[in-house]
Amino acid sequence: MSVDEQLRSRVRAWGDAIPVDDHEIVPVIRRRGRRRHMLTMATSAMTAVVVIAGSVWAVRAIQDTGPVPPAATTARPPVARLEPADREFQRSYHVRYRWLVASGKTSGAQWNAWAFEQTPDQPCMAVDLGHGSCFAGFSTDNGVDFASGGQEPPAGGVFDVSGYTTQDVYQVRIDIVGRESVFVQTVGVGEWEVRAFAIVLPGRLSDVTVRGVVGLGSDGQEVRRPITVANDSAAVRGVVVTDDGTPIADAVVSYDSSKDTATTDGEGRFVIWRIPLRYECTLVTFRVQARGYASWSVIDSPLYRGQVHDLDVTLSKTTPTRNVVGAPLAGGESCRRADGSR
Amino acid sequence: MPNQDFEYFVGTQYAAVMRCVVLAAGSDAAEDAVQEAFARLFTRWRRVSGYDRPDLWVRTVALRLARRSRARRSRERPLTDLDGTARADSMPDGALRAAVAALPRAQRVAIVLHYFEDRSVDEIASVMGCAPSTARVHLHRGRRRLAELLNLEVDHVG
Repeated sequence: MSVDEQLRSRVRAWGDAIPVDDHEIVPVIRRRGRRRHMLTMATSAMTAVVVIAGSVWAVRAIQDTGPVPPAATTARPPVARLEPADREFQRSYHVRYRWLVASGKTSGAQWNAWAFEQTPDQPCMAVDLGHGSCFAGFSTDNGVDFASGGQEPPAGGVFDVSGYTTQDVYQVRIDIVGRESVFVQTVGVGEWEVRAFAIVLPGRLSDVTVRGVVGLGSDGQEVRRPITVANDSAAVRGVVVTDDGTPIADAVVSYDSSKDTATTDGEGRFVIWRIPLRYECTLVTFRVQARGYASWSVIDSPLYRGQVHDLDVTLSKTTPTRNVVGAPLAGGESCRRADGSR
Repeated sequence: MPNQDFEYFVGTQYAAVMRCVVLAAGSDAAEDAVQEAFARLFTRWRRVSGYDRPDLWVRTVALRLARRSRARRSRERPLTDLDGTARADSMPDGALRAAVAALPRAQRVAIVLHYFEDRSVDEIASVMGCAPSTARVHLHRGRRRLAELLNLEVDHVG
């Protein structure tokens, strides 16, 4: 056991053994017209009294509860604190006027859906769907589809759905429209599938479909990511490798003049989640750049609304910039560029 | 009534802050300091609750008050028994308590925040009101000193 581990164990055992008197917050007296700050300590009751703005409150420690038995060091609960995740979640409240209708299916275990929303009149945290005051949603048993079923989109925002099985935890998150992303967070082993999503905005319906199945191998690792595609856009995914097939990390994939780019991960994979398409079939030019490699462009690739396109790229260190027309995406005879030209 | 957020905060933080201050400053100063820190928090709750880390704020205030309380005492007892004489017999690990008490205050606070509360260096720096690099030095020296005092294997000290 390292010094750190020994010290942590011993300091925690010591700290946990320190008895802390139970405490409560009690109002002491209420006055009007006095605005001063006073602190007194009543030694018998261990009462701290605060006078502020005409009100008196106390944080009183009760000493008659006896010593608190030390907690088992192995089961020591974490120190209560405001977790960054909570704050991050609160920040996401700024996304409003979104509504999510989802349907999905699990296999292997029971699970429930949760949603989070905030509306201007109904600030609320997590809502157990179907039971909270802030709407609503779906819950299902094993293998049963769930759906909210075409309800009128309210002026509120739901943008997070998580599924929890009895043993494993999966999470699907849909972020704001325009930057849709879906990820699956897994703990344990199992299989999970999202069949379709639809994001409904007030006054506008935009179907979104999840393509792909999340399969989890025996080690619990995700083997394929689902991608949501709105009907007015397309998604592109692929792998960037070298001539000998080695994945290239941190390669940047961009398209047309958009600032929306994707960067490859350690295995060379990338996904551009949403490419808005002006036409049913729109010609888009992609550009792939990586440090140390010649850049690569594919010109006028036809993208179809609602589709997920594969774009695998091979970069070379020696070949100069390579421009490919159309390929490797097939079709495109009736397509137009974003500016209307053919 | 104080709002529910404040009550919840006190309910979840009071014991942890108390233990932290007892470990870092001794029980004689801790109870008063923690009580007063939460009382001050109440008066500033509207503002402090908007901070990123109100939990660090109340620890900073409690530790500062505990330090001042000890400094005010004309005949300050050496920190030979951080949990208080009356409770010392029931406390485990007298060697550790004596070793921690022998540390300078800054190192003691850093050690307690890191090992008892699992605080990061940035959080320790925030509570202590110093730069992260300074907090890291306090933490490093504190655990090196503790390792020496407790005859722990020093090879693993980071």
